[in-house]
Amino acid sequence: MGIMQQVADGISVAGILVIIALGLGITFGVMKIINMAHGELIMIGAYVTYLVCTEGKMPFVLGMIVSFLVTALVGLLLERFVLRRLYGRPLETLLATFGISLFLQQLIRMLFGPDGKSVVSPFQGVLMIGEVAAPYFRLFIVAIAIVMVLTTAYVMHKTKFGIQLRSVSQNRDMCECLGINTSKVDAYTFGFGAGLAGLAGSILAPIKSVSPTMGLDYLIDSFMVVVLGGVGSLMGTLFGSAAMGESNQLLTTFMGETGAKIVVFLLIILVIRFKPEGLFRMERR
Amino acid sequence: MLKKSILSIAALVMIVSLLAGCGGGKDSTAGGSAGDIKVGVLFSLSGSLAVTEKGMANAALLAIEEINAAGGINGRSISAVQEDYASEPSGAATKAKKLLQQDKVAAIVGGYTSASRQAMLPIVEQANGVLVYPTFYEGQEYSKNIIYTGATPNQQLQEFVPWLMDNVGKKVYFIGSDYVYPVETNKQVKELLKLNGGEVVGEEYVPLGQSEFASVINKIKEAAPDVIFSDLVGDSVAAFYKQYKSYGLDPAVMPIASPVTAESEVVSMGADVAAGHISSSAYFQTVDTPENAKFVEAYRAKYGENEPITQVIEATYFSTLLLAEALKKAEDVTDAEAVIGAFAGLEMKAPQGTVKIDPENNHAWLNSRIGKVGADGQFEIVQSTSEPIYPEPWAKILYPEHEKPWKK
Amino acid sequence: MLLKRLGINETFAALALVFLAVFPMFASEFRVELMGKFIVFILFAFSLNLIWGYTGLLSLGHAVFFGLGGYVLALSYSLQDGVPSFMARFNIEEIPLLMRPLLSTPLALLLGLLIPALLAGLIGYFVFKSRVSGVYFSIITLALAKLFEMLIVNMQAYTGGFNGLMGLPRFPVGGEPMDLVPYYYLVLAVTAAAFLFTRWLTHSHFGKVIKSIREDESRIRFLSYNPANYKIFVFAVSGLLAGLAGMLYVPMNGFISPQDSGIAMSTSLVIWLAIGGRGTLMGPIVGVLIVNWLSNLLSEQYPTLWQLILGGVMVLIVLYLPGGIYGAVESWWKDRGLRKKYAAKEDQEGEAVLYKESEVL
Repeated sequence: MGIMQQVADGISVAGILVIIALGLGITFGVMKIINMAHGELIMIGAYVTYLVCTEGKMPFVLGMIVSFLVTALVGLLLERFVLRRLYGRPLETLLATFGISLFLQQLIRMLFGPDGKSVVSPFQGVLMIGEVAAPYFRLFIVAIAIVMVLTTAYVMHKTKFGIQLRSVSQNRDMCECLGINTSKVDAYTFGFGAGLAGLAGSILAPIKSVSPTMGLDYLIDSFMVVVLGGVGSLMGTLFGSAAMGESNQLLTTFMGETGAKIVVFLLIILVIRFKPEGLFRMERR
Repeated sequence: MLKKSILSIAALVMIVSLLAGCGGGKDSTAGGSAGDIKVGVLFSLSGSLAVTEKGMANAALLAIEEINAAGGINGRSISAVQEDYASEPSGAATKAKKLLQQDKVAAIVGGYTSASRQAMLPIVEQANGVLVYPTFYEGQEYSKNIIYTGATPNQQLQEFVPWLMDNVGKKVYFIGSDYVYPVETNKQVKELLKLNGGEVVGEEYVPLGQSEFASVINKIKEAAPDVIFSDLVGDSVAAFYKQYKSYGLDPAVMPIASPVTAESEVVSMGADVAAGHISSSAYFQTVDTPENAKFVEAYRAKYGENEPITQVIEATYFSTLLLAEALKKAEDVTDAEAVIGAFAGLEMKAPQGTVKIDPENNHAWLNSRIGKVGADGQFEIVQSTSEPIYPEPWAKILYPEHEKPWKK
Repeated sequence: MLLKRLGINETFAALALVFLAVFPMFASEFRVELMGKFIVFILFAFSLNLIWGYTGLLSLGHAVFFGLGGYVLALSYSLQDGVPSFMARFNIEEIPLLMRPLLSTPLALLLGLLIPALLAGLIGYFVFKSRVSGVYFSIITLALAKLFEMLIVNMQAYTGGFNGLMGLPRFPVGGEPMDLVPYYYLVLAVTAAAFLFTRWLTHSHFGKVIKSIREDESRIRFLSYNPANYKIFVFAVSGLLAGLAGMLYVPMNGFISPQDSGIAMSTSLVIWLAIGGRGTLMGPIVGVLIVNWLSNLLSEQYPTLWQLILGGVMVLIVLYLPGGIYGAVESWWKDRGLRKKYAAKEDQEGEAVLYKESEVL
């Protein structure tokens, strides 16, 4: 039956979720910034890819790199001029980034027009494993998701920046006393998270529609993943995506898209009630 | 004491300015002299529907410009009062009321979604105004105050479905957005399938805005239809076609046929993805008529070379021209009955070919074309009717006994 | 000091009431209807103000409760003449059992209050009982708004789907539909009553408790209050008020659609209250009137620019005017009118503490 196929597709959906949620996992999970403009950063990444690949006819890889850099820059600017003034005030941050999301959405609409844009997929064709069809581009997404998680894990745990970042998130005052430039760490962290969001937009551009309003669904999905998996843990984001992707995909077989989404939502509410640290939180600070 | 009075003054200023703002409003009328005939142009210029409706508003304004350049309505020019309902049906209701009550427009050209039309309907009827609605829709409606110039399902389907059976195959899989238009359209397609020996092998409705189709595509592959009949709308269209391609499906074997997918959707998915798929429409940009050549040139000169021109844009354009003819014919343009009466039987050469307003049911006789997307992203017309088709708000094959509200 | 403070709110409230009361005498029918909608929005903003302004919990999906109230009443109207056409389209031949109670209008009015309140209470129970931070609450309510919209569209055989429920009559009090102007005054009276209720509630002992929850939750817990129960209760009351606003909106609007009960509406509400001034009595009124008035004025000529400005203003408000317009006016009044800056200072310090606390998550 198609159950194996559904599982396989669940993996690819989970891959997409990992990619979109990873940036948020860092800004929300580690820095405790509620970035409502996360979806719009994804959108900007998609539009940059459109500019580079469709308008500029450059290779897709270049689109990915430029997307990462541009959105990271946007992130740095946001951090510098807005978020920095609001650290430690989550509700205010939420509201401000919410305003930013409206602003960015409209700005893109004014610059590019409201209609959707297209980016050509760099991979065509399907790999058949028995009865299971796996499009090369979906395999590519899963591969990218794994690479992104590994890279992020490396950055967070093995580099000086990552170690500083994690210490700042645990005890800001102490880090300042020890001579760490915390505001620089904050800025780079947010920039890194934003860049990952842009990269997500770039990767999704060939299979989803690129339009000014595309961000909202990704925002909600990313938050759900992060909450489900456990805030502040990389593995949590990974497993959260897997759980959400698979359950969504398998449930659609029985109850359609809307039903599946509702069941997943109820599941998340239950998780918040009975396991507020998330399903897959392993490390404890 | 002093502070209190300062505050009161401040408050007063605020209230006065509120009053002024509400009472005065602004005239978006372009130089509205007393002799002008006002026509409301009511489309979403912001929000999620602006993507389609901006072009429709543009087409209406272009038509009005042309009418005025050609001497207007019996010597009076038309002044357009443009409003934006921001993609919200309640906005459409409010703005329609404003146009009718405050601006006292002779007619409104506007509306895209059925929700927007249904929101305006009671208001237009109550104020006894005229609404020209230029979008294809699911039918099953008649109002003595509305002229429907978009296609009813029968006009899009009665040629299309038999053609699909003969030229593509008999096994059909339905995929649609979850709302009334796809449901009603598919009902008719199914009836036509029965008549033509077709077969339904699957049916799926996804939430509006859905952009993940992996599981749907799986089900489709399992059902192995000859043709996928899509009435997806909005952002879902591009996502579905793109993922169809990424799963290695081939339009030569199992094309997607759609009464919705038009030039603008092709742009948003890219010509490489769209090539080989089939659409049915009253109008394609590639229609070869002198009127269309002139229209496409004028539209592009005004709004840009790369703007896709779709059936709703064309419908808005010729509807506005038709409205001008009706206003010329009507003895009193402020009298809705006279204007609607003048519409009856009105005929013109539109870019899509000859169209006319049915003298009874307020809908338009329209052409039917079938187009296949070529490598350049334009529709190559593979079949075209020679005569416009009669509009059936209640399709005969589904509701043979349905009462005809216009006969009352 | 208390007197002075009441002074400014009362002055503004009285001015607003007089303005809204005389408005129908001067304005056209179209304007009256528009203003009527704004008054409903003011009531709606009061409901969010309770949970966000006074208790410090931002609901990003408040339109769900508004929509629930609205849909209950709208369905009740639609069912009055037998099976409505949107049901008949899906071959439903008799009114579903679950919807039978709606055939009675008084019962529908009651359910329109209770269902939103119950849903709010339920969500409150799940989110507030486990001590996750308020941010979770915002996210959950945002997702709820998205889902509710989807659910209404999906259950189109029972809800009218994407197109919504159309052609509804004005409030048929005692069987006879009301005219616009009397209905306008009914809405105004209900909203004024809600204003008095908010004032009473926030000045009561209960109000002091919820404000202390906003300022510092752990302190209030030391005083052996259970903040979770207070939060659940406030959210339920807030849901009830939103449901009431939704029910008043339906006859004023003539129809209800999923867009009125999803993310777009919730978003607008948050913007009104943020700009007007949350946690102040007059903030909702100021925010709704100013933003909607400007929106009507500007959005026609500059539809795209307007959205851009709105987004920008939100950011600026958060950065430079966290109390919103009315919050700024109020604190200016307090600072100037009295040398005792004690009140304003207390607020600021309290907030600073709150932010420190919530950082801990």
